[in-house]
Amino acid sequence: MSTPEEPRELLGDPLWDALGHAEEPELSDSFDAAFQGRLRAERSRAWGLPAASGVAVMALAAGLLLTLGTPEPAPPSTDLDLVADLELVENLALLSDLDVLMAWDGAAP
Amino acid sequence: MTEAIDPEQELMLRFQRGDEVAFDLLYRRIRGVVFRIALRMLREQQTSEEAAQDILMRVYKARRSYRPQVRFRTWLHRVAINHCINERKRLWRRFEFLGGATPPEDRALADIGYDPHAAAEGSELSRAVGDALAALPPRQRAAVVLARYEGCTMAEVAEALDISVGAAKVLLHRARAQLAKHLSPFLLPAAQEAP
Repeated sequence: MSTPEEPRELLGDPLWDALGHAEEPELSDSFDAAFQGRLRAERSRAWGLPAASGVAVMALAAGLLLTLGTPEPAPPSTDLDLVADLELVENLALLSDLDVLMAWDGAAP
Repeated sequence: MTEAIDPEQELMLRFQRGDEVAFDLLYRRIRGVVFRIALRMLREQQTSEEAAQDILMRVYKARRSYRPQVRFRTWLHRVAINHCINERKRLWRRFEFLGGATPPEDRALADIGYDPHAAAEGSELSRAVGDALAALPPRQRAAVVLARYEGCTMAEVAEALDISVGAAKVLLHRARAQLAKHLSPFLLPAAQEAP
């Protein structure tokens, strides 16, 4: 007696027929739209990301060159800075006047 | 004798060469198959649609790695079945993590995702068939799904499950015994006896 070789023989006709009564699967209406959305995202990830990262690298390199190549300008002085500078000059002048007077006396006080 | 041209394989190879339209055509041919397998393996509509989309994305991403060593449909069956078995394990872990008492194996996904809408509309036999399939261990279920609903030969079932033909026959034989037990009210007495 030969052994069953194919699925229908292995399962037997009645069981085979009974299994044929399984509910028929139906895709929902939104399936295609949902998949197309995923596909678009994957396509832009696959194509867009390398291009975008190349541009980003170039922009970064250009920015780095600019930063290294040009000296940073000094910030403009404010009014308060100016007042402080004038006071320093006046004090220096006062000190030099004292030096002159001490030199005339010939000795330190 | 020349080998018959496999149109799905042709489309996949065109897609590999950069033809995106070929993938769209392939998608239209295979989405129904992929969803059928997912639904019969996982049962619940939304879970199955998500799984089907994941499988179709895997096909898309396999553009570089695909090698036409087996028939495209066999390769697709393998990808789909493996994904569904893994998805089922993931659902199980989630089910257990959420504190569900571990149901016996034969309740399987019938407890996690039973579709009441389909159940209400389906006939008593179709519900019983769904329950009986859900009660099978995953690899037995995969063998039945491929053999009964996807028209695979035993060799194709074996190839898709990456096992020998003998092992595939054992899976189907065991599935037969369990299915016959579940569906006994609908079967003639002779059908319930082992061959």
